[in-house]
Amino acid sequence: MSLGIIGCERSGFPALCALGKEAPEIWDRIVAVFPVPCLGGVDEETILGILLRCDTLLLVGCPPASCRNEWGSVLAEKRVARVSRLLEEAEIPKRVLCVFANPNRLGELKARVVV
Amino acid sequence: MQVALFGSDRSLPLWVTEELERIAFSYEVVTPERTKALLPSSFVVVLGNALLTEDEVAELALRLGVNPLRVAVFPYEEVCALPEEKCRMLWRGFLRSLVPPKVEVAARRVTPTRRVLLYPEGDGRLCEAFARAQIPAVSFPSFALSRKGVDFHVMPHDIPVGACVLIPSLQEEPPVVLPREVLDTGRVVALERLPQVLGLSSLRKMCVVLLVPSPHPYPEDWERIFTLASLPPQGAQVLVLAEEVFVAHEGFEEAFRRAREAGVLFEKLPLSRVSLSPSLDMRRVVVTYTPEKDPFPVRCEAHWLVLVNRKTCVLPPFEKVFLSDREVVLELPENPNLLPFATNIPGVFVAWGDVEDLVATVSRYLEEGSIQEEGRVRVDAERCALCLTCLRSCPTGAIELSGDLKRCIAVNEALCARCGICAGLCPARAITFEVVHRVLGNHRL
Amino acid sequence: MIVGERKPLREILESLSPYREVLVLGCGACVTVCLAGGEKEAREMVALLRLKGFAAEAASVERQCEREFLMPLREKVPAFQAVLSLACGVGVQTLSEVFPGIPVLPGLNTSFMGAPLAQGVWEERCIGCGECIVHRFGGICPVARCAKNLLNGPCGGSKDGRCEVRPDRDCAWQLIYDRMKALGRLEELLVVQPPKNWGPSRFGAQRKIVREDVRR
Repeated sequence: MSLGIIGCERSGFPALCALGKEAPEIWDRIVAVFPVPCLGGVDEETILGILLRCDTLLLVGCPPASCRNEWGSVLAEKRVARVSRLLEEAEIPKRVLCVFANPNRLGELKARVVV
Repeated sequence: MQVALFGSDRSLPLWVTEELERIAFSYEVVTPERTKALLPSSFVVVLGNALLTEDEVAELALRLGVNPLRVAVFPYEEVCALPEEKCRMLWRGFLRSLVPPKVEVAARRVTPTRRVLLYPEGDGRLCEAFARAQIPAVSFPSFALSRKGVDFHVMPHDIPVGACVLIPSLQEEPPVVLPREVLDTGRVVALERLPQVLGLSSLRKMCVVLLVPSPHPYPEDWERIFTLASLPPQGAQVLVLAEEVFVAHEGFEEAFRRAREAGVLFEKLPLSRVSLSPSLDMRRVVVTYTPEKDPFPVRCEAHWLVLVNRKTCVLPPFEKVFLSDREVVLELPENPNLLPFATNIPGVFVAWGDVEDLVATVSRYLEEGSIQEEGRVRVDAERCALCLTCLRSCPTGAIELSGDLKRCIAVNEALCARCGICAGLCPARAITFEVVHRVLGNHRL
Repeated sequence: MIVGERKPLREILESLSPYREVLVLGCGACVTVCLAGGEKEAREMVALLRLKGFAAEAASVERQCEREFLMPLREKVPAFQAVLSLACGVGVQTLSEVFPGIPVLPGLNTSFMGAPLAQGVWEERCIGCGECIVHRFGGICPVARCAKNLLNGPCGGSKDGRCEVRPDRDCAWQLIYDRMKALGRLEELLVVQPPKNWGPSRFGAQRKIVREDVRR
């Protein structure tokens, strides 16, 4: 499984760094890391473009109740759902997931990244 | 190419300086204590952690007088622990990836007007607190607000105010629908009155049931609930049916633990799973509830039923006074990533909680303002189809229709939070927003 | 404006299966505004097609229904084996006319003429009947918004203001009644409307409008 990660500057990327310190073996599986200001700004074209380079893409960001940009996380979640449906319909064997994490809340991210 | 190395004053290892010389970059070391005037075309390489947020970059760019898009971060702290060859390789790759930005952006600080609008009207305490902080506070019976830069203008008088404080009304309602017969038992009591009624009777074998809705972040109420820990040792049974237990306050984790140790039962469940009826002799309240983990209902007879009211914060209708071309979406300030009391719209605050804290926050906002990056977000009028998606989606309301005919999209850079949502949504790709961070590729952090 | 949405992906991929080099062409007018076929959607489609192994490229023009906007593409289009057009049905046809030698495949299903109710929600408002009489109904068109095209009052099957035919839609006649009542013009609804003349509409065959005063 080759992983690409898009992490928001507030929670997602710091969460990834924190997980990386705890479990350095994740770097063997991660092929690309993209820090972004907010997950809400990541569009479908970017997601699909990155999927050319890896088979699973994680969008990691602030839990919706703490997204500083009101609906950035919610927007990202909806977009990821839409792209997932398109990938399924087109029978493309790649996955996109939205994970909400921060350095104090690594549980879900760990579950997705550490096998 | 000139590079300013921003970091601590420690001497730099050879691999840093040698690679810079090899690629023919002239460099100088800049520290927070020693900042010199830099050439606008310099790159600022921050030797520090792997990431700076957009705000931190803006702050730094303002301080050093450079284009924020020329600030790059090299994860020096982590990398220098690696073998030298690896350091060199990563540093070289990083220097090669520094490309001049396509747009000229200037970072400037904007400060709001030192005046506050209270809507609807502030009470004596609030007005006094603002007066002590030397911030003039105004209210108007009827008005409309338009946005100019980081300020609001109160129309029709055209008075600029730097911040708007919304005064909410607190709506209290019972946490569950109370059947008439249950009320008739006379066994329903408010939390504040509980100590009084308990004092009048023997506590042995008494059953007290509390119903607590969520969210309920009111420390005074929870303090009262946790003090009920004194009852079980005296023979009483205390059952707290709460949708959520609030422990995010100093000492509450401990108090919660002590209460449970003393014998107070806490059951977390949605209050919709609780039903109430009077006992046959009308002297007690029968409380039946189905716990989340068990499908079997639990029945108990309470001598006292304590209802903790649901308190909802109702904001005044801000969208009615805000002259905007969009629906105003106002978040209640429970977001830990915003300033306390602040909403998603810069300059709009909600007055709830501690008055002194609110005034201190507003005061700080009025003094510091925000950093505006001129030229950062660009709208290509040729591509723009005026679909209004960006205007409707902006979290801070920074996008507006401008021009004589109101047929141009303009971004109010003083309010722009640089989140990139507009650029990602634009169906015509008319909005460009350059992200300061570079793709670091495969790296060890 | 014209509102449409992207065809199911399976359908698009099936129609593109004989080809490998595909140009995805967006349109900058209505389909951009309803977020179905603009430059962004064209690039998104290209990214998807590339994941499926197509050699795809994206482009967009101001309007696909006007030759002057399509002519600048006359060098580019023949270089591809097929064009996936994300324009409305009008644009797809004009594109086919201007480039008759290249297979042009529709990427959208064009649905209706409508307006946005809120961001992301569009509803039909006009069916182009060719003889507008909305003023007789307080500005609400029963031809477009009543499932049965009734002109003289509700059918009697509506419940709680919702249409009998599609319960998730408002009953147009409820809306008309409420509006006329608020305007104090309820008696106007007592005027009997004659059967609609469908001649000027689509059912009278393909329509054409000519303005002699601007023809060269």
